[in-house]
Amino acid sequence: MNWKTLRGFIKKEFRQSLRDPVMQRLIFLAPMLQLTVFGFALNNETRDIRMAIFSKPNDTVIQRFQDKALASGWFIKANVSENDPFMSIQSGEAEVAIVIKDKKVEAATLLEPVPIQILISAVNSLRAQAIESYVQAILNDTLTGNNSSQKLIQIETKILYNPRMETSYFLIPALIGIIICLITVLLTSMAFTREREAGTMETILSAPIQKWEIILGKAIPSTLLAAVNSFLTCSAGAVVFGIPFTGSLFLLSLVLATFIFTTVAIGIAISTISQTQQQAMMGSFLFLFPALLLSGLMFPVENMPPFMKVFSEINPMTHFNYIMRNIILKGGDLEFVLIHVGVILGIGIISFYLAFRNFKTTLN
Amino acid sequence: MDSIIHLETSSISKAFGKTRALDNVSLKLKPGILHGLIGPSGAGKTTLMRCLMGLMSPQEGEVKYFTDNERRPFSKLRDYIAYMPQTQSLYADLSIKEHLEFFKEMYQIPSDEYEKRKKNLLEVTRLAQFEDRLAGQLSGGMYKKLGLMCSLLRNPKVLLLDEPTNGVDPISRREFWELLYDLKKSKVTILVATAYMDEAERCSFVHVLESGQLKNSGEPLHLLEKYQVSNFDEIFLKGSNNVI
Repeated sequence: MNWKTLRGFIKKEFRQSLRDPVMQRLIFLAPMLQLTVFGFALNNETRDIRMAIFSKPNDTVIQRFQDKALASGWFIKANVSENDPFMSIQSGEAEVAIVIKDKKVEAATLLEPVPIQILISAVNSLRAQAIESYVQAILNDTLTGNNSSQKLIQIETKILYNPRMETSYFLIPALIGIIICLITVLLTSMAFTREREAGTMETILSAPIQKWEIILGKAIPSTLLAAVNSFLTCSAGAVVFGIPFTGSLFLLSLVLATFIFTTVAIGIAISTISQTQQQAMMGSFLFLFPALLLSGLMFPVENMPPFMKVFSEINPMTHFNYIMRNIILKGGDLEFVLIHVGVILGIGIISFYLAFRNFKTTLN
Repeated sequence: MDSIIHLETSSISKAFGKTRALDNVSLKLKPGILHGLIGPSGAGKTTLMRCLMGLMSPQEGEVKYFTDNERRPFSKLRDYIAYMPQTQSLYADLSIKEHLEFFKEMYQIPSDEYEKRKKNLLEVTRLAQFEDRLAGQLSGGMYKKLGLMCSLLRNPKVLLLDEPTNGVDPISRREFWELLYDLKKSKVTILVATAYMDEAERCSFVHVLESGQLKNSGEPLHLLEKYQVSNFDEIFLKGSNNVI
């Protein structure tokens, strides 16, 4: 391996990628923009739930329930035009209707319980689940508080690491991973196909340059660009969203470096099996979408069927998310982090091996 | 390295699917002279060039490389053989200067040597004033000259040029050939593939390739006499039956 040749190759790559002003913006500004926009928009906290209550007048328990619900900030009062609970949901005026028909809740006895019916619109099932748990939590709270002298069991919940259950704490680390993945896999998967389509591959292959030098010459520039990008996105995460980053910065850098290495290797592997840039692009998305969907960001890995779990476990993004959450929120358990870093590294090494094996130095 | 390099192919064949791009081609490139490889489009010129450059491996036969009549492996001589592909093979978004810098590193040319060659090449190609222009913005003739410059940068002993004047205006073509004549003086073995038959007469030795087969080799005048024609166009115009 000749370092001067490699350096010349890398210089050329940088000149090419950064010559185009549009590319410059795409490489550096787009990730920051994505992080900010997605971070704010991808908010799965359920708010402004339109709630309608149909009960006997002056039911003090229900009154207290309503006060608590409105004070929580999750609910708002629905404007209901008709006195029919089902119609209020059907018309979209309310998303949840609390229905108590015959008597006041406070009049309930063991012999004559009062049924409370909750109607929830599940047009959006994620939102419906959230509404159900909110309503039940507030109802429980209201009802147990009703005769607190008789409380035998007290449930005291303390939420650790993310006490306010901020969604952004969960989303931003994963978004950093997605952005790194997009930049590295897409950029590097184009690496060889672009040369092949432009005809320049023939020139490179006829020069006395080693296979390793060509592969590293393509891998190193993407790695450096991704490193700069991950620093920028992490900073944006800390400044804009106040992500705590409680763990050590050294561990964080180690994780980012490993993840970048692996995604670059995957990009290069895709590049070596694609003939055209179009194929490389399709190949990248074939990796990116499943990687994203099976990373535990959208659906918890624990809930997946065993068959899918396997894919989830060989997905570098899953491990990246595990570690990033661990480091950012919990402060990072060294053993836990190292195990998952090892898995990511393993995937990277295998991808690099495949890329090296598939890379042909002839035009046959 | 001062020794003379020469190349030979011994009955090489290469097929792509059912198409036999090269069919039993045995060709000898005598050192130090300007060879022409002529034939219509699809005759197999590019495939032959790629085989000579080690970019493709023939299915039958082999390409042999010699220094001072002693057979050597390709890897030992690769540094002394330069190749200019037919297709656009430069980076549209890099300037002339950046191309030369890139190839300097690729060919591992020492800096003082590089400066000397660069100055000389820019002078003979008359591209010095366009040093900062991007390859994508060069005219057809300038583009080809830049390609030639990049392959000459490493002072090759063997130069393989695949249709270097294709799509270039007549004046630039003449300039290009003048460059090649200059090179001939420095004892570089040159092989020029071309579909322009008039260019065949400019070579010292001509190889006629048609449908993947080497039909003839010889000095231009000798070949014209043999076919009993007045110029090379006629060889192919008369139809392949006449190609002996």
